[in-house]
Amino acid sequence: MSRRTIAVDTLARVEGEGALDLVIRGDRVEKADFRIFEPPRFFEAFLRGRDFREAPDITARICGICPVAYLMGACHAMESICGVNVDGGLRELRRLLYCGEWIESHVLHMFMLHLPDFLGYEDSIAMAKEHGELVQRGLRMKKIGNALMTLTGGREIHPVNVKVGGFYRLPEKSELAAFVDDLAWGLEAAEQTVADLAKLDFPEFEHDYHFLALRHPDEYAITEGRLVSNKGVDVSIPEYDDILTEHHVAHSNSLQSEFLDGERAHLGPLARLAINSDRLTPRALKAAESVGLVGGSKNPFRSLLARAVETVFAFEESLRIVESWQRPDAPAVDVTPRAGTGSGCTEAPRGLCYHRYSLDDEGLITDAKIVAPTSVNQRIIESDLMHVAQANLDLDDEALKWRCEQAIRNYDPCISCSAHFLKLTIDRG
Amino acid sequence: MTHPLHTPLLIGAGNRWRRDDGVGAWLVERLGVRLGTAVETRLLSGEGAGLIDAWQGHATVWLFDAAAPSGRPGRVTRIAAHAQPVPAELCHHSTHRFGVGEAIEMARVLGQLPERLELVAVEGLDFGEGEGLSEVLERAAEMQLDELEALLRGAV
Repeated sequence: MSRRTIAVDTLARVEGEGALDLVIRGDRVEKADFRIFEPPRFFEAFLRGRDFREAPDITARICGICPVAYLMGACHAMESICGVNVDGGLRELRRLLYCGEWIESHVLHMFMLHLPDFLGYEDSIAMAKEHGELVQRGLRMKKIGNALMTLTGGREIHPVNVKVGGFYRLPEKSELAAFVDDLAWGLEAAEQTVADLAKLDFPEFEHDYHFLALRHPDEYAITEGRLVSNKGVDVSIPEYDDILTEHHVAHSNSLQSEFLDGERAHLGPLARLAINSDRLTPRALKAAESVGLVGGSKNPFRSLLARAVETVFAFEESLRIVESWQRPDAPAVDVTPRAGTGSGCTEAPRGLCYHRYSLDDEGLITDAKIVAPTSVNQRIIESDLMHVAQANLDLDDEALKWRCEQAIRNYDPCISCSAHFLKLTIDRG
Repeated sequence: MTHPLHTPLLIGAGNRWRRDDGVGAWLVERLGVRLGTAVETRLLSGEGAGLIDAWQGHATVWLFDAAAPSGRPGRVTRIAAHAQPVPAELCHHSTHRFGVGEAIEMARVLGQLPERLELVAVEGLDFGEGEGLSEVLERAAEMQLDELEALLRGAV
């Protein structure tokens, strides 16, 4: 039996530091370990003893690309404990901030990180030499997402304007209205992107996933809803711990999360489309229909297209909000701390992000639990890699490595969030 | 009056609330005071798309940033980025972000570099939370001010 070992020192275009070990014996893939060696970051530990109002700003530092997911999860959990409901113009503004994050994160991932895989380039800079117009479109779209975050969140990275109960400062209605032209352009650009990406060759691979996402009765869920799956799960957010569990594995510094029965959950844009296609905004639904993504897809490589459809949604929803927003009288509602336990769960660009906190009667945090989406998706990434590698054993080592990296990037993994580079080793002993 | 597009643009990239990461802002603020209306100044996070957008239309841009630690805090590297590539590791932003190095190389490919782009990177020591540069970095940055002012006056 021949033995081949392929080592890639760093897998680029993912966030954080980790490695992948593939063990292949003969014509069978025996093991795929997604090994995260970036040290644990202990956010949950150092939240204990802090004032409940500090949680959003502290947890936002978990990630530079999806800080809003952490801001919102923490805010919702604290508001739940304190019996506060943030609605009306404040809720709409939070949704706009989140749309900004979806736009900038999805566009970054599509154009800069994942698309080079499909077009056969080492990175986006090499890709830009022959696809300059496409890249310039992506940069302009991303800039609009960044600007939305700056307006509503105070700055584009680690926003500082969100607080438990609402915001520190509200923008003027005219500041939102100034976005109309850019958002209208972005919406058309996103639709064009869906059409362009649909022409790509997607590797043939399908799996019967257990998709899990938030579902809201009236809208494409981002910040609120029930936890719903395509295989019968339908529970409230406080019941999260009744369906998903975390455990430590020897090969990863990130806890891995899965359903209580050991089944692997799939989070993110394909899951959201599987659960919520009927809640898409009109033009986003039309975009999904045009590429056969209504109801999602079993092919994880089509997550690239799913992100494009969700980018259409995010622009369309942002446009609706800026055109209809009514400025509230106050930037936040008053929040008085009380003892209790509460949870918040929102849809980060790469999937569900869960927070649960306990407070004492002075509002000090006594317990905290945060589950980043990559903690959950790690298990499905490992599963996909087993299957993708198995189905492509005829490829030479370089081509197999390329395909495996592409498969990992289907999930836009944020390793820093979950543990918090990836070294790929293929052992064909 | 000088046309704004011909006024040199000084960009300070980084986060002033993360100690030495704020050295770009530190330099730009002081150079802005010394040079007055002869220059434009902007403080940015270092996010790549924002950088490319910021320098659109400007013929001359000076970009000041902190460089990642490599054992020589305060070391200043100046690169004529319009004429030579920038090592990606020099101004590493994040594996998931589109940072200074990537922005410059992307703009080069897209034909969106200013005619003159000078990158000044100062190697940091302390990137922890808090305002103010570390002592060694403030001393190093202070020592650069006269020379940078002279260079910029030559560019005005």
